Amino acid sequence: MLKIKNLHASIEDKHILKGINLEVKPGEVHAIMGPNGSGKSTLASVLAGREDYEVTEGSVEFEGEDLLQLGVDERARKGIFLAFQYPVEIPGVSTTNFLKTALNQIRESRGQEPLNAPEFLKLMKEKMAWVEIDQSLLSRSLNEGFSGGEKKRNEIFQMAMLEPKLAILDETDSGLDIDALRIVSEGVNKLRSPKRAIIVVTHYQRLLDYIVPDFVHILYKGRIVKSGDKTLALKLEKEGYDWIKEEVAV
Amino acid sequence: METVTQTLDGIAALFNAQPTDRFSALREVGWKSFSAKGWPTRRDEEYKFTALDQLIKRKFTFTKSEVNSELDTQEMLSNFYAVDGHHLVFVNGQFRRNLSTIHSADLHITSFDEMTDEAVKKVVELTTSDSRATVQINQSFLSNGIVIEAAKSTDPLPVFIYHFNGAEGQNISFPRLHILANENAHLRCYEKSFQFTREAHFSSTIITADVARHASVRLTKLQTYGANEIALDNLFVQQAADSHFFANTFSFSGGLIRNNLEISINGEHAEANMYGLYLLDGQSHVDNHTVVDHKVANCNSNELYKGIVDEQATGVFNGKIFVRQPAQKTNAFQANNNIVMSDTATIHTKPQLEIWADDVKCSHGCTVGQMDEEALFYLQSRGIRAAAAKAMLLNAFAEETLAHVLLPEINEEITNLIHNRLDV
Repeated sequence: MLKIKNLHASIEDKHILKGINLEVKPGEVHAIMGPNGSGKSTLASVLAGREDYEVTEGSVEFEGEDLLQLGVDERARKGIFLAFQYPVEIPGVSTTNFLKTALNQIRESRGQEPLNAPEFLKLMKEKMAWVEIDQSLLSRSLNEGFSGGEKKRNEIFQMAMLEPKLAILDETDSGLDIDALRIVSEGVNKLRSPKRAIIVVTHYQRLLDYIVPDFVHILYKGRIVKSGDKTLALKLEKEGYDWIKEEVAV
Repeated sequence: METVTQTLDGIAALFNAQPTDRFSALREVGWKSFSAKGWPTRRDEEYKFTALDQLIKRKFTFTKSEVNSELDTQEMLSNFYAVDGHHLVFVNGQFRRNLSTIHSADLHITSFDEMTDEAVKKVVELTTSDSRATVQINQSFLSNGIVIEAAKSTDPLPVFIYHFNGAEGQNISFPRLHILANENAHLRCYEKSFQFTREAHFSSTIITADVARHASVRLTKLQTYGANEIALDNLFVQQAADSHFFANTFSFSGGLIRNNLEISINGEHAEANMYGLYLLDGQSHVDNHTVVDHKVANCNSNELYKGIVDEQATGVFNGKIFVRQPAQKTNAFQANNNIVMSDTATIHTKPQLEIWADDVKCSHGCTVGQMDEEALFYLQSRGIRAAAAKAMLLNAFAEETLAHVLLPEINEEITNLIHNRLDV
């Protein structure tokens, strides 16, 4: 589904990604871990198409198509979803209205009919239950005045509504208390399917107790320096990142 | 350099051509004041970005116009809102009772020609000492104005004020209105202009409002002038204790619009609200100058003006807040936010706070910027196309100013005007 080959990316002449190689197949859950500043969020941003980053080398293929040639909204319509680390507050735009527009533009590009109001509301009700989000929150301005937990739940709710093929969760666990973490994770787990891949970007192992990954990759200084299964995450939890740094230094 | 008299020749001829009647003496007073100085220039601080002398000369010539068309009253009446209320018709600046619809039991509408000289003089004198050209030009051409009076403890049906300008080929109009909300009366007014000519048109309007104790007045202005129309608009408000006033000013187009809005808060526990939106393209030029004068303690004022300016249009905002020494415990908030859509569009914005009291909460902020790129990225990352995402953000930005337009029909009309301008 996703093939990243020798990906290099910079922001304002700062070289951050220095040759990422990663292949993600449908149904898989990959965790990308690493110390602060290793390039985790940069990778998520480059995949979503944030323009601040410049890809200087390498390629990214999504379902056989050159992803880097596509604009942000095109990527989303092809089925890529980024759950933001810091969801943006947008005054005056309600979640409901915005999601209806987004969903129908995605459906249109898939050759599906737009959902009418009752169909849309029915779908919303169903998905709201997944992340225990309240209708009153969704009628309000998008993320405006939401708590940290509410913002993250709203991200997963949007993901559930838009049903992407590849979901990228960027530090979704940051700023969440244990209950919110459980709710958000359960929402993500409901979205796991043989057709859908998920990339979980996180600093801590605790999210992976709930969203159990098939693969764990350690990103350090812009490269994937180690890959393994979920036990790798447990080792990081126990021993920290220092042994990785030493291993790489050798 | 041209002298004042030379530039005012055309206006002087029009002034002198007015027939002698019971308003002549008052017009003379206005003309004396106006003609002494003429139009303000860019050297006048208040007209730095709206140099009336240049702008008017470029866009309009004061010459006598002949009656060249029939008054199409049917077409006028077809523009009435389908809402139960008082529908007041001004044709070329003069009130026409025969075309208006007034529920007499509910509200008193008295035109100047029904009032004593003394009563008319009292209304006109509210602004006689004001030396501004935009005011004195109106008094120089004083004709049949009106007083709208809401009796004590009444909540009259909404008042719709329609200006049909340029009817019968006339090219100037000078409406004059006085709004009086007596104690505990609650008045809602909606004002709109229609251009009944393809020719250039000049208008100068004065509305004075007197809001008594525990009374409220809401005045919503919808400005959709033609590219060859000049509108100099004056709205002066006096507020007594415990009163509320709302001004909602929506400007979508106009060759030159200058809105002077001044609110004087004279009694405690009063609240003044000023909301405005200017959504401009083409070569529209809109200047909102507002003043709120806190003279007494324990009052609030809220002001929010927003602008989206595209193509070669110009938006000007100047907001003054005075908090006089006795006006302790004042809360005064002001914001002016602008989005500039093109390299050739211009915004000038200037907040001015003068505070003599020490125990007050005042804030002001002006922003001029482009679209919020982070918000745009967020919307696009959900699959929304760039153009639609942009429209969504701009609509949301603009619609924030609509919160206090309570009548659904008008709110919807303005919402549609916003969408028509911004949607893809």
